[in-house]
Amino acid sequence: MSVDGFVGRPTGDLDWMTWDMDDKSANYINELTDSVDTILLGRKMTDGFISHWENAIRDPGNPEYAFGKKMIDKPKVVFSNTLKKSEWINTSLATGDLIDEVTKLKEQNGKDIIVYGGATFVSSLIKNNLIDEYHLFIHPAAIGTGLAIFGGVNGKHNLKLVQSIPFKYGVVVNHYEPKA
Amino acid sequence: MRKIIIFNMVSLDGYFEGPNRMIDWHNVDGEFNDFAIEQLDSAGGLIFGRITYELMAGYWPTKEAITDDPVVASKMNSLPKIVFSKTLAKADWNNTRLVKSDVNNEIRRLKEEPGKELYIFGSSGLCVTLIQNKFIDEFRVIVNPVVLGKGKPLFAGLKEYHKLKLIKTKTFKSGNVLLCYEPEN
Repeated sequence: MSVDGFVGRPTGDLDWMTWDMDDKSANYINELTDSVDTILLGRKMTDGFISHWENAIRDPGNPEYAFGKKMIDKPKVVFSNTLKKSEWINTSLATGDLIDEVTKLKEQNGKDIIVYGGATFVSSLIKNNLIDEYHLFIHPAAIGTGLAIFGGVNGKHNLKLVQSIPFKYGVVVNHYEPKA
Repeated sequence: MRKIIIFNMVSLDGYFEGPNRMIDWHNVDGEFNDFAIEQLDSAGGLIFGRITYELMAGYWPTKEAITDDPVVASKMNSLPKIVFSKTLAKADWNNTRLVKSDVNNEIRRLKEEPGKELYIFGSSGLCVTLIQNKFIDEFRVIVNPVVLGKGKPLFAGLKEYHKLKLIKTKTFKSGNVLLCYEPEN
């Protein structure tokens, strides 16, 4: 997220973000990733997401290789009203009502579930009260306008800050839970 | 060179005001008040655009403000203030100078004066102009643990993205998070 609350430029560009992570932030992200066994994806984001990580794991020398393996190996669920079958590895489709599909997944046994985007998809999840934890990485940039994830929220909602951790590379992670 | 610092309370979704200029969501407590006082003590003056000026001028000199928040009210009311506006006829809030002429020339002049830091609160339109002309030395936000859904974005109208450098953070017991940045270059 930018300092001014956006998750992408209006075009979806992430060129304003900072990627030279330090050990502490890499550990945070690895721990978070290891705590989940399922990744939810909005339809629009899926192609880019999967091709990025498939590319990263082509070469074991790629610094993104280890994380890429996790992204490719973990079961993924793509939400789409229009697709008939999944074109991607380790990926199934959720084609029914959003709340029904996500509730079904949450009721299963297993580790936690993570969603990274896209903005429209995450907005729907938030609007329908389906999110239990927010890990918002605040990047050191002001972008003026762009994609939002809280636009569907009806009125003021308080959250509980669980922790806020600044990292040396300038990003701060703010971890929140919805307040009961 | 005198520093100019932008400070705002913001929601998680990047609004400094809710719909209808609502700021009732501001998460304030004793710890925040101490921070506000410390900030005002380091200030040599305050700079405003018209809208924020009118809102503040309509509140801080009132009996309600002086009763609720005597220390902050006293500092807000006594600090030298500048409001930039081509349309305001007069600016009556104690110790205010109304500037109708070019913002950039005046800011340049102010920065070359000796003195303590100058703060801008709210005044989003003015901030965008000053950010784009590279007059801002520090960006400070307190991110409140609240989502509004709708409101006025912090830097609406900014033409390009501006990369920043994180210089300081502080977590408050209330769940507020203070983030301080300098421009990257």
